[in-house]
Amino acid sequence: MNQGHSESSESRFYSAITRVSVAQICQSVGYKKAQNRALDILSNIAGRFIQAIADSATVSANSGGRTESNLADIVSALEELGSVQGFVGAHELQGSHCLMSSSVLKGIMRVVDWNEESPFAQPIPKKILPDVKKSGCQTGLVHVPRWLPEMPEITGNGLGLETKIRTEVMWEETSRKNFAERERKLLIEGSEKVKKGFELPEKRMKVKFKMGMGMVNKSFGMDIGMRNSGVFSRSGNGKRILCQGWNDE
Amino acid sequence: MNSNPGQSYQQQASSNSERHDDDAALSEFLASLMDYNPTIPDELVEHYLAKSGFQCPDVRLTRLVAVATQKFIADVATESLQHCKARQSAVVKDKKQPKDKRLILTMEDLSKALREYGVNVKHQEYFADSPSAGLDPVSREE
Repeated sequence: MNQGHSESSESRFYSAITRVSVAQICQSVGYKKAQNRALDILSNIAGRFIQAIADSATVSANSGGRTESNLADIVSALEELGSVQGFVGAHELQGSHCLMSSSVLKGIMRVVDWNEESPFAQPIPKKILPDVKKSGCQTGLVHVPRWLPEMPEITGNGLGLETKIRTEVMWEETSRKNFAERERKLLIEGSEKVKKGFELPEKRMKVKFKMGMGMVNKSFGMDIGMRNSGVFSRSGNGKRILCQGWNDE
Repeated sequence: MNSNPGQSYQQQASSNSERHDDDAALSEFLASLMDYNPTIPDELVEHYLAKSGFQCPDVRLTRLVAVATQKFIADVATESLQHCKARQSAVVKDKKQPKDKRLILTMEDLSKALREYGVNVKHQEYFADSPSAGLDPVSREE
């Protein structure tokens, strides 16, 4: 009943239209005002009624081996829905009966003949659909059904996929490449000795980290390693991280 | 089966002519649907029909569904209008209200009318704004 926020804007649009048209029908019947909730419920039921007709007509078309419903399907759907209330001639429905003898259809005919028509107040923008006629027949592919959307245009010699420049890189290649780069950065001179591939270098340089109040630097390798050391400090007497690296060779 | 071939032929002929008349009336009716503008617009009906997988290129059948729905809604509305009028005529008559304002589509009448069409409408007695709305003021303050 309650229209949630998760509904798409399209269905909200259509439920608003249903509301207006139901309100129009109520007005034509003789009502002057309506409660919001009553109108909501009635328009919800109107939507469900149409869907129930469609469901029933589709099922009866499918059981008859057809995809498109016809007048007989709709009339039988209406009779099915009208069977709650009952209608004239409902007792002799089994088997094939003439459509014109259906009292439900006669009732609708009476509405068309006698009721004053009150069309919907505003014109509704037509939904833009892809041009169905272009697919299938016009592309020359007879086996493509009419209802499919238009075929995508094939450019060039039809080998678009193969002529495309290959930009993707395989995972193995990227990892190997990155690894090589990292090694090049890490190692100073003598990095030529590093074997290719995933093997580690035989000797690695020592890296030492020291954290804490860096005002007193008691690291023994200070004199030698000063050049290679990177000191990260935060404004004055904050934490200090000392990174020292030196080469054994 | 049939002993009198002439009679059977006659029956067949008459049923054929009946069928012919019916077909003519049907096609006439469908043609009149082309000129009839139902209150429920075609686009709306098409939307709901497509939702249920209904496939039919014929506009006349869409119109037929629209008219059927319009009739159904109008029937329900008429029914609840009768309920409304009956309720009001039963009420004390010295309260004189302008007649226009009294004709309001209310939940009470609508649910009564819909019950006859097999729709059970159940509605809350009241709506609570917040979870604490029904509680007594002392506990709400806490």
